[in-house]
Amino acid sequence: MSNFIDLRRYANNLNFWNNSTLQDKFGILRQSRFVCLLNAPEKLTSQFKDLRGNGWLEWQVLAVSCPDVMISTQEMEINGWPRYYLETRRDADLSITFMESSDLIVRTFFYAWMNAGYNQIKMHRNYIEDVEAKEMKIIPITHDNRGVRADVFRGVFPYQINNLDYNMESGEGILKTEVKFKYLFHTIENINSSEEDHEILK
Amino acid sequence: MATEKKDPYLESLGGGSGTAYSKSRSAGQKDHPNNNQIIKPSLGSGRLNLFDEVVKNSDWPIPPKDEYQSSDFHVDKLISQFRDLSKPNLFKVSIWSPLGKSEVVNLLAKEATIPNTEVTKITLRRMGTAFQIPGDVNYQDVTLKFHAGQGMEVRRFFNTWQVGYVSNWQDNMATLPKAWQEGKVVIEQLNQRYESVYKVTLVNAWPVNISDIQLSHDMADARSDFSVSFTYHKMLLGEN
Repeated sequence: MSNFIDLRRYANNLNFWNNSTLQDKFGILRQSRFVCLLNAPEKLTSQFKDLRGNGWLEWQVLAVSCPDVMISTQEMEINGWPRYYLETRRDADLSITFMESSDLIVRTFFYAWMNAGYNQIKMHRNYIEDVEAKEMKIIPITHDNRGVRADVFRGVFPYQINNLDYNMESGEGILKTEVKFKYLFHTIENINSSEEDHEILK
Repeated sequence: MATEKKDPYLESLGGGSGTAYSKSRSAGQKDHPNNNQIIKPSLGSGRLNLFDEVVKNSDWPIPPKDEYQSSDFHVDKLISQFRDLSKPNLFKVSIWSPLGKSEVVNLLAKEATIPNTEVTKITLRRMGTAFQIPGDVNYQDVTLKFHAGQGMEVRRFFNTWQVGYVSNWQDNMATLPKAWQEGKVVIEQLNQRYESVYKVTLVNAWPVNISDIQLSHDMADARSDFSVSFTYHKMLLGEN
């Protein structure tokens, strides 16, 4: 009986060329090619419709940090042996960077959105369901501009607008607004799957 | 009867005849007139020619001698198929700025460049081997050279474009979108009849750098000229 594993086929780069996703039917994906489909609450977008029209927010997106998925674990020791138990699932924040305009429209929009949830002047708080976006999708697009799979976020609401850094010493930067979102569900789905298809919502 | 010509140098190496290579060829191989002049070094009579031995044992697809020793090139063929070739001194430049088009500027363009086209590569490494995948299109700046003009009209044209529209230096005003939305540079290659045969259009172009003009009392026979570097959003080939 031999005491080694023959791994020559993994060392052969021709096998890598033929079997890896390099030869994928939709082509290899790139970091720089993605689309955000952002559906903000209707009552908020209606306020800004006159300014930019529908779907204006999606065109301002410069960068997205699609959050990681993590299940926290509990470690126990039984008879001296470590055991692990799955505890809770904690999702990181969804972070989107927008290109800002001369009238600070992105910052103003998310300020109004957050104000709808928590108004510090009138001192009232809304339920999340009243201010959340039903669905947001982050989709990598292929070489022929098609989307196949998407990271889908449901029950999304912004909770932090990041600082704007003004600086007279630099003439090469543009103003960007980074917004962080929390959400209820994060799934990875086919692009055409509807809410009813998903197991969590059944 | 022709006598074999012996090479004294090869003879001194090992007593070889100097025509070992031509003798070792198979009888059915087609003779080339140049073959008689080819004398390859041999280690001497009775020993193998190293070159032939390497070719015989190699897996490389080395073509038969007939293929690489013959060529169908002839200068008459070149002349009959191509009456002329394109010339670098037959070209036309057309520039549109936010101010409009200036015929003087177009006429006084003295040097132009058909820009290079480059696709960046994404290098994916696996076990030390690099796989090159095509990436994005990379546009590089294009530099044109102009005569300054008798009244410095050309220089003034670009100064107004750059200082007044791209970035207003005097008033410290912000960039106007118009500056890079309305600029266009067209570079055309002309044939002998001054017809456009190849066209490159730089879309949303604006002057990123206007070079200095050298002035000197020693330059009695020269004319003032300067170069302008354009940056642009994209390049169209053969379109307006």
